[in-house]
Amino acid sequence: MNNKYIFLSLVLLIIVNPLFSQAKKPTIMVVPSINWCEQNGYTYEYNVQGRTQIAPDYDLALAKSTELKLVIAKIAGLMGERGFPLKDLESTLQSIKNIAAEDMVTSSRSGAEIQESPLDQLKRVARADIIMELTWNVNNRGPFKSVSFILRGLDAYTNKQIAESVGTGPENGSATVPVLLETAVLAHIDNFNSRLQAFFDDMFENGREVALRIAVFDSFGEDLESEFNGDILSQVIEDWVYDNTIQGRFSLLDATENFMMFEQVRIPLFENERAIDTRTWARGLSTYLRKDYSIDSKIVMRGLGQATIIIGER
Amino acid sequence: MNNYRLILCFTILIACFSTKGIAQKKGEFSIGNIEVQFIRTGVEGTVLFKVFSYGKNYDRALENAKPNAVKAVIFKGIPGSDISRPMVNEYELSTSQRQFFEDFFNNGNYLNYVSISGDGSVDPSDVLRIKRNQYKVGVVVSVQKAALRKYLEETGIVKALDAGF
Repeated sequence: MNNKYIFLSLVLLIIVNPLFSQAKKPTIMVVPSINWCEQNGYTYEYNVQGRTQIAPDYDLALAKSTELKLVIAKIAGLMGERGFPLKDLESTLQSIKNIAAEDMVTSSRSGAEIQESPLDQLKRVARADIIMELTWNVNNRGPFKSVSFILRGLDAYTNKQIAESVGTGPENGSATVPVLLETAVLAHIDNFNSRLQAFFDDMFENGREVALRIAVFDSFGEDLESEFNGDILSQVIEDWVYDNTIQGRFSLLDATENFMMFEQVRIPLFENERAIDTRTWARGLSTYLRKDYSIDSKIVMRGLGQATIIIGER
Repeated sequence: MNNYRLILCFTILIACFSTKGIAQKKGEFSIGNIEVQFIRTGVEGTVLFKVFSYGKNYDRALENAKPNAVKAVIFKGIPGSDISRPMVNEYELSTSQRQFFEDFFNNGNYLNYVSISGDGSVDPSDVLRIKRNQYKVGVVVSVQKAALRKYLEETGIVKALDAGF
């Protein structure tokens, strides 16, 4: 009798458990667009192989523009009310600086310092899974002012625009710019959120869209067109991706003997009742290559959405 | 005798049709034709728009304005505003959801989320007598869209933005 109850409880647990599983929540951050930063003088220039590049100086923008802080705070408040507290740009930048400062002075008793690869240093930038990119412009016509407002939601890892809300507010002769900006935020946030909701609905139905890159260490000695157990490696990888995506949905953007780029890869949100991200999913391919073909590989991540598997070493 | 049978059949037939008519009016939740005109984004969490309602007299048309305004926000969206998309698609409503909305509108719960803007006076140009017994009245209303959405999220009618995460 007792066994029967235990068995029934286990069956119930298996049925009910997936209902409580929750997907990994993407992080969202409001960031001013490079266009706005450039127009307001919050950029810096740097040189890459003789060409001058412009990059947004978020620190400067946040230190000098009260309007930017007002808009970010307003959007964060409204998103928080909808159950999506935002990652704060200013705090993230500050946190990166603090960690860098701590790492510089941290050493062991023997004098050893914290190990950091060039890749680790490169990754120490303010990141989020979804960027809410913000641009506005105050239009003047005589005594009247209006605000043109662009709010774009960008999936940071597929580089797709997933939501947007654009428009110019009514002209006003008496309202100050901060008031016009606040109105603009209120006038656009719900439309933006309804598009964001459509993106999430699609994600829950068709899986998370991610990107997978396959690269080869030069120490590997073979390439993606080499044969292993009678199979061409690139074909083995492509077949695994087909078998492990929702309805086999992916597109192989480019493939050479050293490189494969998969985009629009639809991975499931759960596996064995456990929320998975691109890393967990890509680890499956890495394990498969190691177990079935004795090929070591290293996984490098970019947030929740993009994984690079580098074949040849761990 | 045949005439009696004929009259009896007619009576039953008329009774059936009239019963069905009443049942449809009372039992079935319908949205109907709602015309809206966006005015402006109101204070935080509200939307201000003009809603045109119909009724057999002026008072009845005015009375219909509030439920119509809430229905417009939920099922139609307000074009030109920040809620241009509907919160709920009417054709996706399940039987229990239809029942929920029927109760929501019948027991006056919707009144918590809508108010007539200003002193309630109606612009004379927004009062139209369409037929002998039909009036069309346009009135500016303010709907608390944020609170309304919250309520619908809590009752499980509308999915929250963070649902599933």
